[in-house]
Amino acid sequence: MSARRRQLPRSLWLVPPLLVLVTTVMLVVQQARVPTRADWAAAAEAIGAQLKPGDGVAFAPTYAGEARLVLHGLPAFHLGPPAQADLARYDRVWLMGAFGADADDLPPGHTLTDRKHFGAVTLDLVTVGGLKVVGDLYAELEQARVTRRHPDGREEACDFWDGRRWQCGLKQSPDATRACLGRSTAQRLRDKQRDPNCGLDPWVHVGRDVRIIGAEPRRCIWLHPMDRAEVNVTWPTTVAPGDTLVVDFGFTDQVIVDHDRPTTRTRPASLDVHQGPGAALVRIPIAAAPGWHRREITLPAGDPLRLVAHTESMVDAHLCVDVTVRRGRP
Amino acid sequence: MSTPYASSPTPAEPATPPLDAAAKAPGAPQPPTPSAPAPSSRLPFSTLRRPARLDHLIGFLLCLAQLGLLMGTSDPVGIPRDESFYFYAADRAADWYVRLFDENVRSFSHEEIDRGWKYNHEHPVLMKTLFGLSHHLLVEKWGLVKDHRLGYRIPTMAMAGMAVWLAFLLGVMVQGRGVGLVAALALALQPRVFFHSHLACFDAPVTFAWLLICYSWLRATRSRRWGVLSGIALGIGLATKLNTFFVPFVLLGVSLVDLWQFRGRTGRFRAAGAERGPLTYMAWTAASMVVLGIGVFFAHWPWLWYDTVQHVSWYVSFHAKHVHYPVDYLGTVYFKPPFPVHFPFIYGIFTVPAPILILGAVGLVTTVRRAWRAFRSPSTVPDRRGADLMILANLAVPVLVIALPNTPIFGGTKHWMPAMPFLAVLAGLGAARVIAGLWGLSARWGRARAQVALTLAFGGVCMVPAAWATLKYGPHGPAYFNALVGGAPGAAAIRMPRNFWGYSTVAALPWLNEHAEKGALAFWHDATSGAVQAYQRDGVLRPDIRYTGDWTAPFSDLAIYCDERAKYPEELDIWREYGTDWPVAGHFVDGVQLVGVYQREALRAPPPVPEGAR
Repeated sequence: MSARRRQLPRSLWLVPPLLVLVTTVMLVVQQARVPTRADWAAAAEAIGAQLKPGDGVAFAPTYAGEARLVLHGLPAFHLGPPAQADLARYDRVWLMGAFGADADDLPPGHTLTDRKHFGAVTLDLVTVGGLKVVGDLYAELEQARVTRRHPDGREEACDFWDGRRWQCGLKQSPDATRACLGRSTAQRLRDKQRDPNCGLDPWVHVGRDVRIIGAEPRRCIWLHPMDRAEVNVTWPTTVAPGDTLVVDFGFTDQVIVDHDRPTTRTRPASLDVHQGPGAALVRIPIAAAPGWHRREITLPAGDPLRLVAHTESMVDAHLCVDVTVRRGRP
Repeated sequence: MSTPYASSPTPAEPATPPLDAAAKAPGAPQPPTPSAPAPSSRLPFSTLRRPARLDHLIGFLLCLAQLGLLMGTSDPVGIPRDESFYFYAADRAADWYVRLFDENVRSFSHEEIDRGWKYNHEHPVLMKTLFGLSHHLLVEKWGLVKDHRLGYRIPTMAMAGMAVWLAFLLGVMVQGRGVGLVAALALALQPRVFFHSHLACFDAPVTFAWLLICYSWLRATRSRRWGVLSGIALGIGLATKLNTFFVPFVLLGVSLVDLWQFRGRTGRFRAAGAERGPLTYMAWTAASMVVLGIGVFFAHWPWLWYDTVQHVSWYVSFHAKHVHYPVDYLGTVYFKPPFPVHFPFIYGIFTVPAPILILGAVGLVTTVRRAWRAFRSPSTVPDRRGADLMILANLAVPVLVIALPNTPIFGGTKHWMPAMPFLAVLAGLGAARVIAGLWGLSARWGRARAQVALTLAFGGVCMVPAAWATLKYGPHGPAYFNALVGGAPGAAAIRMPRNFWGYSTVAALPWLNEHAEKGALAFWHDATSGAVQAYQRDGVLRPDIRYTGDWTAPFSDLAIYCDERAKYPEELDIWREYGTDWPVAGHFVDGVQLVGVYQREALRAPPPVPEGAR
């Protein structure tokens, strides 16, 4: 038996030790690529020294979480996957990169102005190209007006601002609700069982939010549609003919994919975009499907915009939208 | 006395990686060749070795070293959710035993048994009892241990130490002391195993129990005394965790192959004359496993003494229909079956230090070839009593059980940890095989000390990165990923999970102690109130810092978020409520967040009234 077996060349037995050596070298190299907290802090300090109005700050990759410690006080935002980054809100973006991520990963159309290294952190200054956001519903939500139109034609004003959201149907007077919202955390915890939300609807409202949609956190406006009423958001923004309205939208991953039900309970919704009193410019169908989707509309006139949301079912209608008006950069 | 390893041919350091080389060892009985079939009147030659007293001494010292290392590194290891529940269950179990000596208590009444054993009855109680008694005696009664967590955890650590001991012995049995030593190191120096070996949970104990059953079984292949002991070992396993339910079936399969090979060597299933063959030993082992295994299981668990059928069926059905918790894997959060079959394989490959994988792969190939040769033509190779197949089967089965698409996979690597001692033994065999291949030692394999020294030196050098990883990542073992995937950042890039049920909260405690306001209201995310109280009891968390409950970001001013992809929306709840996306502190493994500490940015105040609003 043994005589029939082929003898392996002795050099072949060098392979396992060499593999061990290679993986050890890989380990050393990987460790060298890990930024220290001081690297991130130095990069942030450099940004702070040169920051201008219109600048944004981001870091990549998303999992380099230690970067988040140094972002306090900076106009920081979540970049998401760099290749899909939307930088239109900014004139310049400072990008802190690690683990091989840097501004080279951004979509085309932007210009790398400067690059510095702080230990294992690469700091890139990017001059943003393409359209620029000139109207931002997220930022201007306090100026918007929210109503519900019921099938009988009744218009219900959702005119209570709780600091983040427009609310309808208070259970107490506005002053009492405001006083409730102003209670200390300890007081609210004490009253948690009795009145956790100060009589406000925690779900059905229109407000600033952040949700996981398309596997990324999205700054967006929670726009919970209703089955028995249309939800109207009137946005008195300054628009010029030819501006581009960009509507990003999606249902939260929690109700579409990240659950243990056999299928999603969310039903499709739609969003009508009106400009002025006439018929809708466009109806955007919103499927009960995963992802963060975009629709761009060239605006024909300068009138204020109105969004109208509909759905056939309110169950898990966790819709979030980001609406901006964009114009070419000077 | 049975017919144990009397035919073992080897001198102080026997058998060899190239199996046929063993037969060439000076003075060793030659295995039968194809042209000269084995005489049927004698048990065939074996290259297995019975551990000597010195081996047990070495194993014991390894066990002590592991126990000492674990005890010395317990403090920074946090409390996952399940451990906090087991602390509570352990206290109730210990209390039941303590009250046994109180003549006013009817300990065996339905009420008292429920009082002691009803809580957390989804798991058997051997370990919870040991945790509780250890804490009661070492901490509360004798005051030998100051740290309450350590008091509960010592039984796990002891079993993890004994697992290292057994891995060493198994290595000694299948080849020699060098293999055993490398095997012991390869088991002790795995960051994830090291982490779980601290916890007052069942995963390290069941890893030991699984190995104990297999070791006993291997000894029992030619020993009736060990046959009896293997039944007790199974009972200990069943009393530890459900996983060991699978072991007898695995060993039955291996035993049948061993029997078939015996027939191939001797021409019959039963040994001739007065000799005892594998069939005899199998019968002893099987009877013992059925009688003593099940007996120990029922005897150890008072909750089964009443409404037995109802309670046993509840226990079985709980695990048969176990709830599925979500797990992030390669970019998808799986909430429900079918889970990807490759999950434990890929996850396992990424979470064992690369040198152990490499040596294990060499050992695997060597052992598969040896087992295959034994299966194909048993009369031409030494009788290894199914040892090789046993190692292979027990490496595979814990992983395969998790690979089934409907098996819950929320526990991650800990659920196939019983496979790790067998991987460790294969790593030891791999180290020995590489040394033999490099230096062509097969011809002079009789130089036992040289073999041990070279195997240990090579294996030891290979274990240096594993040792470094264990010491660096051990307290955060679930965040450890090896160089093949690029460490924790590489794993995060492809979305592999890196946390484990709130244990990592412990890393945030120093910051909280220093910065939290007096009486601060903290949302602890994944950590339970029991865990928070345990930290406070041990003085590692200020007693005034409060626990607000699950899903209470709106009712807190501080939040300690443990990174888990399935719970990502809960981190966003914090952002929304606190008005910031950026943590003020945290714990990061190679730059990747494990825990983020958030602080409410501004005091609450009544909201402003925009123009036109009410």
